[in-house]
Amino acid sequence: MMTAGIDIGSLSANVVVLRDDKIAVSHTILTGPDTCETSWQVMKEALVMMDRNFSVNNIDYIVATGYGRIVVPFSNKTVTEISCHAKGIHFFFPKVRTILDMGGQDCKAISCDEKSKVTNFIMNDKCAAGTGRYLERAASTLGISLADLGPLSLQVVKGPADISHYCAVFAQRDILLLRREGAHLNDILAGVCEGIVKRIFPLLQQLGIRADFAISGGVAKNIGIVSRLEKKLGIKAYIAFDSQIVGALGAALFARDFLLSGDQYF
Amino acid sequence: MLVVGIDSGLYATKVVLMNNGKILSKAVLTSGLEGASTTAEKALKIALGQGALSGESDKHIVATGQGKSKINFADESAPDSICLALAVNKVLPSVHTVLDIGAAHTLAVKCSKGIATSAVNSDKCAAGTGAYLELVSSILGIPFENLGGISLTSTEKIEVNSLCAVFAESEIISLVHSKKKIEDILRGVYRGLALRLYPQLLQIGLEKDIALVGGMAQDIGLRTAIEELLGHKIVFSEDSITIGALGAAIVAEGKVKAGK
Repeated sequence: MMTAGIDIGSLSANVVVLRDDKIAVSHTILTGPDTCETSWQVMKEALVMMDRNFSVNNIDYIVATGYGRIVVPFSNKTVTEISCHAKGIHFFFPKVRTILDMGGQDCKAISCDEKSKVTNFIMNDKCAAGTGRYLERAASTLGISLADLGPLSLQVVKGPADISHYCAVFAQRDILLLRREGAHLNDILAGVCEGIVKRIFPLLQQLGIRADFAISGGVAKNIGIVSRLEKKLGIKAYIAFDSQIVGALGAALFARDFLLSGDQYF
Repeated sequence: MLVVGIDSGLYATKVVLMNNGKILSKAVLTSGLEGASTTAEKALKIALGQGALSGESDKHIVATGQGKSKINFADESAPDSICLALAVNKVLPSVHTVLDIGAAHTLAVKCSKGIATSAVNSDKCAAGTGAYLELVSSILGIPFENLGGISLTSTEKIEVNSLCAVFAESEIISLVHSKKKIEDILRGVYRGLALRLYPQLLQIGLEKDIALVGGMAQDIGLRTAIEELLGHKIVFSEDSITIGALGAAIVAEGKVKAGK
């Protein structure tokens, strides 16, 4: 039995293929301008990694998720990314009851029960403040890579710089001004990370945190944000080994469940 | 005595010089990264040079705008809404509601005979401001000042729904990829901008005439979109960008007359 999940996010497209209950392959590419083409590309590349003769016809059931899920032409069913994230996280950490999914374009706080069923969620998808996009802009303004941002932000020199603007557009100007005033790069980055944590915290507060706590999505890779959030919440966060594929994994697990329960289109 | 009004904005610094109720000269300078006070000093020098007044030393200086507290050579500062109400009363006396749209803020002020009765300010978010249009201009590679004119040639109605300027960037890119026409996208952008400003106007209560001032008032695309939304004409003056600085100069004049 082979099932697959495909997660078309705003920045990255991810595929996970399950052979029975094990991850056979996972693959990530950047989402191109044509979402439909992106979905074919990421799926074909993932299948070729398993066997160069494989095509989507070899997969028994495919579930699509993410904001581009409706344009995936080869999916049997779509499931929201919120449900998929809860399910994906549950696969790694069965005790998790609160999930923070920080993506490139939105931020969601999710509560789930012991069966990984979503019981409540709060999201911000209206504003770039507190999302990966904010980090991307900050990194490009300062001319550093996203991967370096987190580690550098922890090596504070004088103290975190004050980025007073909430908005990602205005914060960019704050960053330029700080640079001009001679603030240390690491201190500016520390200010950026603290700003993001300040924006995310109310979401978690509103939802109410229950242990265990996990962070997923691309921003979970940023140690500068994860460690500050842990400190502020006073709770340890679990991070999936490759947090970007959590949504696709959840989708693949849903695909397996649908297939086993006989819920099929064809 | 010479009075000076300085409006220190995030993107532009405006200076107005007055003497006995008469405007002597004006200057508008892009706010660089050198700090608000330095830019304001440069703008003041330009304005003084224009009026050949550099020799005159005795002057009273009032600052307004988001950088007002940073102008260290100003004698005092005045709130934006008070300055706007005073200036509008001088330039556009029929106006009772002022919508000030700058690069980094939007401010709606209700006023009567030069007195501001209520004001609603928004400076936390780029949605609805000039910074939003600046992003649009750079994505599309079209000079900022041409955007408005192009939007008026639109024939198809398109919605640009993203509230956040950063997200609008990706929305516009995907509209371009789906072969939508630039003029239609721009019209959608302006319609969206007008919609974001609407709640602010409703909150203070609309009372005619309505004036559009600030750096963005010159934008014909934005003006048209707001007029369409409100269903009536908007008053505006050609030198709307310096209106805040003019208000500050009027405040300064009032102080001088009252013996400070």
